[in-house]
Amino acid sequence: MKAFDRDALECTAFHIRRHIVNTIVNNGEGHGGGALSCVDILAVLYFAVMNQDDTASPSFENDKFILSAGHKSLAIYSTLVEKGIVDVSVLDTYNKLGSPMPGHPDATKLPGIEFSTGSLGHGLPLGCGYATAAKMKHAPYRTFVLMGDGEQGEGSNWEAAAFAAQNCLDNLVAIIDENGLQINGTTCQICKPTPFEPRYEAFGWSVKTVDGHDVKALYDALTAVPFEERKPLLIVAKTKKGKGISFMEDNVDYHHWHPGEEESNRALLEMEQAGKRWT
Amino acid sequence: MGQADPRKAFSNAFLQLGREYENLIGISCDSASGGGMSSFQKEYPDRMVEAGISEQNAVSMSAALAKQGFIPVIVAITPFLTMRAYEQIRDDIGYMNSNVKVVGSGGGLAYSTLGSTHQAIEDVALMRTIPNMTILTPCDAYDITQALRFAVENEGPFYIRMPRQPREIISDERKVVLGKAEVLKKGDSLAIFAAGPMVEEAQIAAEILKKDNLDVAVLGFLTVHPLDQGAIDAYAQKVRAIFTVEEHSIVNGFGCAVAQSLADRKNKPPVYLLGIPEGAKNTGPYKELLNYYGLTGEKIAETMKKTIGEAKL
Repeated sequence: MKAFDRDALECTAFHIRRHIVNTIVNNGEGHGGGALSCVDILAVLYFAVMNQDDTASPSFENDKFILSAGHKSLAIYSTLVEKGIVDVSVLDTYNKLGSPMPGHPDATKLPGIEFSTGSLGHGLPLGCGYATAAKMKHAPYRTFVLMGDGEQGEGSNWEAAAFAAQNCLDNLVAIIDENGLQINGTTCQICKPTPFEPRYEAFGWSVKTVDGHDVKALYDALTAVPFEERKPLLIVAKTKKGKGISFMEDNVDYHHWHPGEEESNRALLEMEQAGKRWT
Repeated sequence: MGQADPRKAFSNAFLQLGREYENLIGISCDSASGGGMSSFQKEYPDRMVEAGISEQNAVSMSAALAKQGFIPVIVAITPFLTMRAYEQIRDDIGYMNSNVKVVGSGGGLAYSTLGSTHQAIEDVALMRTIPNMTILTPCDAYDITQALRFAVENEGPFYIRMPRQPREIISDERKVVLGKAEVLKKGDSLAIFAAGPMVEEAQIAAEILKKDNLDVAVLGFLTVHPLDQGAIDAYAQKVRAIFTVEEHSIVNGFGCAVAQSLADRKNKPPVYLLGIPEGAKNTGPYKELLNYYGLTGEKIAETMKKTIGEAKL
């Protein structure tokens, strides 16, 4: 855990967003909306909260992160680039033949990815496995799982939610990136999964709700874990899909973004203007 | 040798391996007692993870536990494990090459009376498509002990298809080898390639056919994936016909795998697949059901005789 530095975290989040936008503009398409909504969460996790620096016994000591919503791959790819784990040039291979950066992350191809995800509803069960292993080995690491809100429709999440509470996995932190949109509409139009707070609380979880774009709120919540002894934790992060690009924000059309020339130019210009804060 | 209860054999083997491997753990889906893990659980309660009736969660968890250095053995009723959690097995175990041992409790028609939901006649077909997966189909108590040992001693995903009904132990002085077919009876005219409990029925069939002066070889395949291509090729060159016998759908199971393995060979004998027809879902007492599907030794011999007669082999 590092001391809170708002400017540094917001600067990191900006660079992650810029990688996402640049990569989609260069490639011609990509899961833009969801990647942009979870950026601030990743910035706070990777640059202020998670311990990932142990080299002597990384498996035993270092915190784990699982991107359950694998379609937000560009967010984790860009975070790993900012973290220095992956070279920035690898983003140029996104979706290309044989790329270590396909549309959904492949743990066998890219360092820094714990499991290949993309099929929704795998992350929380995998997180339960990591958290259980830590309990069995008395290991200090914590496991963070980032899920989508539409993803809560998968029944496997609720199998895992019951298991985590039953087994008192207070070393497991689930985060729902609640941007309120899925492919075909709002989450409430499709198969209403909300409100998450009472649902998870009823399963035996300890829950906090934060503004998912406020790095201070995220930092305070993520550094206060565990909220309660012997209870798994859920942070419901209220976010905007497409955050950072004005015409994408809260717009259901940008789950998978195919920017034409005009949208590309507008997005790049908005990024340029946002970046002036740090030049 | 006498008969032995497969679950008891598994239970003993699991406990013994638990004593040898301190990172061996059991994953139960409310299946610890039914799956033969009670003895292990009693001796090592801290090395049992009870997932409850949640196979998808249990499989994914196992993959993460394996990544942290454990050897998880997950046991659950076969269709619920291999079919409901198929995608978890593919993504989290197969593609990740996770060191997880998946044990289907009650393969084939084992739960013969309990209805088609409990029978597992497609599991080998499904597991054959999982990358990195080794598939073992033990036929008796000795095989079960060896299968579990192979799975634990060798890194990577394994699927063990457990029989449930007591079977005659062929001999516990055999030496089965991982990846190799076992020649249980030599023969030059016909060959039966058998998987799982069908090994015993195949031996009965071969004895019956002796009376017709048919010298039938019987090969047991504990390892059905990857197949022992050398043994298959050797017998394909010397017999007039190969019969595969499996307690499984004839679609994409062991028989299909054998036929596929010979597809590019020249001068091969015909391969006849004996098993359960596509879409079949009859129920009843185990032996009666085997008989209904033509999978008893007597029925196998009858089918073979008729087949070679009609084909003029």
